[in-house]
Amino acid sequence: MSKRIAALTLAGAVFLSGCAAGNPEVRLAEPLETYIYLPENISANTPETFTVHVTENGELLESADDIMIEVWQGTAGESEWFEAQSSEAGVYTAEAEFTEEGLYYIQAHVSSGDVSSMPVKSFTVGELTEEEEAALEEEPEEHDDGHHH
Amino acid sequence: MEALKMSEREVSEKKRKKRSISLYQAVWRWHFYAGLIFSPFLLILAFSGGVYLFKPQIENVLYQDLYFVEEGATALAVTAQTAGVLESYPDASVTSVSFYDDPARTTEVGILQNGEAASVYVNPYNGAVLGEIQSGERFTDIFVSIHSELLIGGTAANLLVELAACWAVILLITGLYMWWPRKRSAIWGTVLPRLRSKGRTFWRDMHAVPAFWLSLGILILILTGLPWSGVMGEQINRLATSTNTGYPAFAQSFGEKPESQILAKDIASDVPWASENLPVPSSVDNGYVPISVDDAVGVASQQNIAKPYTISMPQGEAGVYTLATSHSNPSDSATLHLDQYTGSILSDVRFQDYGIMAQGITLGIALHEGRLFGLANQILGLIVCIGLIFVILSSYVMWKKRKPKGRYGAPAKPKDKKITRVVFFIMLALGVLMPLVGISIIVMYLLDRFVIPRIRPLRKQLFEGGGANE
Repeated sequence: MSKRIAALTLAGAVFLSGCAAGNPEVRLAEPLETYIYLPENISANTPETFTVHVTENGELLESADDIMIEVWQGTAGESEWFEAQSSEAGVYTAEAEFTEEGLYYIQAHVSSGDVSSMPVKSFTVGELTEEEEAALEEEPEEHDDGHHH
Repeated sequence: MEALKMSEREVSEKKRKKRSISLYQAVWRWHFYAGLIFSPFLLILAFSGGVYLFKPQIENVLYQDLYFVEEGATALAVTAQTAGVLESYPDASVTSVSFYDDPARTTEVGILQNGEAASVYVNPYNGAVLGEIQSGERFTDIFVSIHSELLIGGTAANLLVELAACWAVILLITGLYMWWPRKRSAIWGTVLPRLRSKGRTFWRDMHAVPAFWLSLGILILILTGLPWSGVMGEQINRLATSTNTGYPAFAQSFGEKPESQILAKDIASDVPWASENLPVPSSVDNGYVPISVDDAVGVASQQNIAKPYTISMPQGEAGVYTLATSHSNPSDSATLHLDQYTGSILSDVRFQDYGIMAQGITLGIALHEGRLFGLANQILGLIVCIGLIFVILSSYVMWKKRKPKGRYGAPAKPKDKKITRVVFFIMLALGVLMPLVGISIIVMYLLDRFVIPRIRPLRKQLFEGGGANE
């Protein structure tokens, strides 16, 4: 009787220490890739066209649910929203005009099904003030907590 | 003929009885020594665990000035809240932001300042910074430290806790064996205590009867606590991995993380260039910046992440935003990793995606911590903790009553050497299942065999002292 118990426990232990790799598969979201293209030199008081290029699983995304483009100045301030127009498959554009020179941010809000992508890019209109230049320099630092150790 | 048969039966009956007495004695010796050595640790675990069970209630009272504010109409944007924190702590960086489901709860902003982690509490309705708690300095942190590493800390203490927990399993098995009713009708002294009896019988019942009632609860608390342990926990992980029933990759916020796609690479090689109209990216510095934590919060609500949850900030250029539920109902468990530049979901692991063992472990941990089914869970845990303390104290009284002065009063060695050996091997087999138990048995055996015989007075006290008494 006790021998049987011992044998069973031993078998259990061997089972426990048995080693083979494997874990349940992860469900990864479908990759939606969004790229923002900026006009080369942006100056104040002239309409500028911003282009957003979207692919889903490497294919051009023809029908995004909606693509909104958000633009704001500096770190604070109100943002302005534009609805992007599709000029051809996978390419969306929006036009904006800036009255003030300075540091701006543009964010494309793209969604397809329940997948979304919302990259942000910084750009300058005209010349940067020294303060803005410094803020831009600091940018990666602010988001990079790994370097504070 | 008939008489001979009778006597044969009598003889075998006598033999059986003798054997059963020897077996009882052998089991009792194991129970006695294991109890003597490990009950102090079990007392510590029961006490610290009993307090820690009520962590939410205790902290809500202790830190109410930091935790609660008057509920306002609309909450500020999270970036506005963290900006306020950075104004108060200019040298700090924000590492995480936690949100709670009670609208009167403050936002908890995790910061790192001069290498020290702390939580800063912000009124979400007006951005007021209410104060901070240094990490590890919460009142309840002391109890979790006692409970998991006896306050000393380190691997050795953690192993000691595991050793005590595993020996508690042996105490349960040997105890239940001794408790097992010898006569079928025996209710008194098994499921009900003999309250009218005095002395040792009374205290024996005060030990054995509640211990029987609590045994299932104690076993559940031990088993659900094992995933934390160094040795058994590792085995459980290995079993889950080998049977493909564990946690999927990226299931835990503290584990491995996927990487954000850095968009600095040569885009032209990756993207189908269908359009001639697209401008060619001009500079190496591509100008992409991380999305704001507000955007990450937006994804959290879009993906139905249940509060309370924590958003951890990306660490480094390839880091990710990590959205993870904390201390909520296990079925709401979710861990999402977001690309810091696009907010796209790199991985999304929910409770339903866990393997069956990982689901079991997650539920078990919640049960152990008293948050699986609310207050009733906490109270059940508390009953087991208090009961365990009572059972240990009553065993102490019962031992005191039996023990002769100046001696240990250990149960006698059984006469039947074979039984002793059989029980030893059963224990060793349990020791294979619980490696720390096995190692400790072997160490004890070697001590008993080679060291203690050389120290004669000690041997007399420990191993021969109680013999005459039983």
